[in-house]
Amino acid sequence: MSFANYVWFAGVGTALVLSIGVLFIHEYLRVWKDHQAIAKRLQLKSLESRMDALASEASRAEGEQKKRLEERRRVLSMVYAQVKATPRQIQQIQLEQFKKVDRCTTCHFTVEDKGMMGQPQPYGGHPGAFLDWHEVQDFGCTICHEGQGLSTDYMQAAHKAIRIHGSERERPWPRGVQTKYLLQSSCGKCHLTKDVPYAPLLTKGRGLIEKAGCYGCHQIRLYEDLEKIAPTLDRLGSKVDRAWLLHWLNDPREYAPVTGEGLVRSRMPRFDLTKEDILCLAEFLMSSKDEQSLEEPPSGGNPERGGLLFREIRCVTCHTVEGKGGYIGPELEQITTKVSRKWAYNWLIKTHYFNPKTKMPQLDFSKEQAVDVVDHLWEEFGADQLTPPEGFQEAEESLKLSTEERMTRGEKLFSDKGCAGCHPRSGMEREGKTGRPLEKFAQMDEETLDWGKIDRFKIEPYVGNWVYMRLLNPRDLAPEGKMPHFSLTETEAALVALALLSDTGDKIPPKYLVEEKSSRYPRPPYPLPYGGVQGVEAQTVKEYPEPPGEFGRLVDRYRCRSCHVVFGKGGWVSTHPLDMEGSQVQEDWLRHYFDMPYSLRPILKERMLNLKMEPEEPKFFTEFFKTVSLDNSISPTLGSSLTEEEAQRGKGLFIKKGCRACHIVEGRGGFVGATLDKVGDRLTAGWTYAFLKDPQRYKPWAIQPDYGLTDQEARELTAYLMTLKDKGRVEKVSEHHQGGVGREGG
Amino acid sequence: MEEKLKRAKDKVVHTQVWRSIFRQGWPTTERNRVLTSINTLLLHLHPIKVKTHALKIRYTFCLGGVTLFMFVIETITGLLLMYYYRPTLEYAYQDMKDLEFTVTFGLFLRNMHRWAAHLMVLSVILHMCRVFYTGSYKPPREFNWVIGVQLLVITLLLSFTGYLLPWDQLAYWAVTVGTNMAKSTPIIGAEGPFAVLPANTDICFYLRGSEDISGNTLLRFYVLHCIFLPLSAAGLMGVHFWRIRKDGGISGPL
Repeated sequence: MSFANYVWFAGVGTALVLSIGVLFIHEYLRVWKDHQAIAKRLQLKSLESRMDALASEASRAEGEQKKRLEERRRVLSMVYAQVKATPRQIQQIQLEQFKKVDRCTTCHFTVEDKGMMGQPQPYGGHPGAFLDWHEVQDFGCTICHEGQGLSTDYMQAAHKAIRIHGSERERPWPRGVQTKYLLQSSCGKCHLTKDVPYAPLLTKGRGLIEKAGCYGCHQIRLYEDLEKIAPTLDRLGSKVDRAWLLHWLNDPREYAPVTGEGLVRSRMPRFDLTKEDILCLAEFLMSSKDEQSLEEPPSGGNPERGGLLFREIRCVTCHTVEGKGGYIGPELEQITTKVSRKWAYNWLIKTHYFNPKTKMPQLDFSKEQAVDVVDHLWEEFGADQLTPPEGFQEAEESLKLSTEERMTRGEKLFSDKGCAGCHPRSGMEREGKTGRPLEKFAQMDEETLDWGKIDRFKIEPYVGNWVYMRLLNPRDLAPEGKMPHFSLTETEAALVALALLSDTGDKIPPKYLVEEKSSRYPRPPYPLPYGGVQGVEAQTVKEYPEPPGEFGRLVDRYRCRSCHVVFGKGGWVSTHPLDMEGSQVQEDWLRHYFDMPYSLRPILKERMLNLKMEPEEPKFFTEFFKTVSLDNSISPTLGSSLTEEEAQRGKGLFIKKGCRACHIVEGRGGFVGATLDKVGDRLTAGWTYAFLKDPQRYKPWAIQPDYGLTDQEARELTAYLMTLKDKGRVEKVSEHHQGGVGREGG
Repeated sequence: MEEKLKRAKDKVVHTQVWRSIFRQGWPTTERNRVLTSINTLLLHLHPIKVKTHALKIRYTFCLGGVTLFMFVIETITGLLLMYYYRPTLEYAYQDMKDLEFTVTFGLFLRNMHRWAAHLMVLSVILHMCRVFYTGSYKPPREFNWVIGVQLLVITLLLSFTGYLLPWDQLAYWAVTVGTNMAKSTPIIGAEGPFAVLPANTDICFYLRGSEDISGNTLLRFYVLHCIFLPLSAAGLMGVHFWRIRKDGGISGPL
């Protein structure tokens, strides 16, 4: 063998030995080992300082307090010993229910230690109290945070965006580790309710989907069997002005230009129809008439009386006038150009006949009163005739189609564009879902989505971004598509995307699902932050019962459920479900409240309507609430056991806890909470006590903080609040009542 | 001293055990050399005599040998991987990640299997080029060329079936695309020319075990990858090597 061959042999042999050496070093120096060592060192240091602090505190304290502190120190020292004894090894959480294994705690070793909160990652403790009611051992990490739980390596765990070959930008792995805002979409995997506690963005997003009526055209989880959002189109020909309809179809935002941003402006999207299409569609829509049901309004109404009635009933609680008022009903400023006077008159008299699904109560107007109100509206807002929008006159003339042909084309447009998804129309109940089903949204493959003109290498081509862009500007992505323009703001679009992304299609064991029906009636099952798990078990109901008998008739007539929860179902405009009303308020107060309802909160826009009930109806409601709508866990006799002395101490407590920051008492205080001046006349002592002990009892998103009051403290505060009575009230009310301000008043 | 060693050696060599293993004496005579080759399993594939010019490395670059070496690596690492890997929807991906992150030297094992597979495909192709450029496919070696082409196909199939086993997105879509091609086969593919079979009985369906890639496909590919294809390759390799010897030894003019 030549010398060169020896050199070769030696070289190759050395390289081989070296590469095997590298293999061993690589195996030994895994990144997680360093992280775990640092985390453990930091945690031990922090535990030591915490133990020292407790020891010095204990040396200064005495009696019970000293014992408690020493006990806490003992617990910490046990944790210390346990951490110290843990060998350096891969930590993993086996989630048998989810069929997952998470190894995140290998590096995020201290995640369960609250004392480590605020340390730099991966050594920090989990922020907030989320781990208290989502135990790490039950849920692991990636159920919420996504990413690759099996991995023990930073990049492989999908913490960060991955650069895709050929792309100018880094692109997040669609299911990579989620932090900050998008994280809330993970809550929606298990929380199948419209309101998700501590996930305000998700809750808003879900609310927007419901409000915008996305489910009219798309199949979306959680929105399967909801009512259509828009009013019925039957009898439209008798209801609206044709010129108005042309305006409305051309651009709905033009009609409601003043009332706020985004979806508040108009729920009806713009469909980009041609003038010819609009004319045909209008022809088709106006063909549905119902002249028999309409009665000619008598002339000679008194607009002044009508205006008085309008204000007294508080129509602006639901209807906007001059930019002020609620958004439940349509705004009334332009109502005179929209509907005929005849329709308005008949609507007031037979509200529920014309639209059985409306949120408006059936008020008991006499014919004269109805004419008064209608004349008030017409006087106030003018009676000008609308002219068709620009260019429609010419289009009308040049459109060479017979009425028959227009009707056919209009009907085809109606079903093609999915109008029936939002508007009920007899004979078209089954039509509507013309859009792409959005179930398992997060799993949608971006390759199958239509990106239109968008250069995918310039953006992050990810399904969430796709729907965001699609909501803001649908024609950029699909020039020929059907999706209309919604007047969403950018924030609203992002929230809708977030809510849609919560449908990941992951299999969640039924045990972990939080469903609508189990969560709101009678109380949510989820425990509260820092308060530990609440004792009461959730009661699951299969169906919400309909309110029975006479009560049910009245609830339906006055549409209580538009704002209040009754028998588990309804709106949340009011503070608490009426199902507990009997335990909450005093009988006297309740009976008189219907006569002259007032707002409890100074800043609240929505106020109780003056429903102008029959004289016996408030009495009936009061009796029903006092006998049926009770919470058995609230003591009805607490009030009588409270003493003067307790009330005195309660007053001190009231000042000490700073209640006035939010509540008004004796004319001074904040505007956030309810005014407490006459609270002793309104609430029962039992309710007040229960509410102070657990403010989120019926409404998990209640603002009132849980001060963790002891039983005695809560008693004292209750006693003080019960002394806040309106001295002159009793006389005033009886006087008021005799004056006959009942239904015929004003 | 020398005497002592010689006696000791004779003592060992004349035992029953030794003689049962090595039937002939030291290969010092021509006859014993022949017998050495013929009497052992591994060497009997090798020609008894090798031409001196064939020993030069740059004559063949030992590309066939490299391929065989890769095949041996694949077999050994593959067998070890089989201890950790379960071909089911639930575990396949998880087991692969376990290998990467928790099994000691698991990442090395997996990477070795993967890189050796790539190198094997490369060396097979280079081997074919070498055979072509040196004209070694000409009679009487034409039969062995055909066997070689079959081995190339099996190597590629081994690579393809192994690609699905990690059960990640890359695997899933690559195999979706790959098996979709089978649909376009004439007559027996559902979308090919003269198609006679519907999508649920065509050749693609038999390849996948279902209409889409599924757990059936994974199991099917696993069995193909670990049993059927390696055994076929080993059998054909036996024929290939034997035929080299019969066709006049390693390369070179006849």
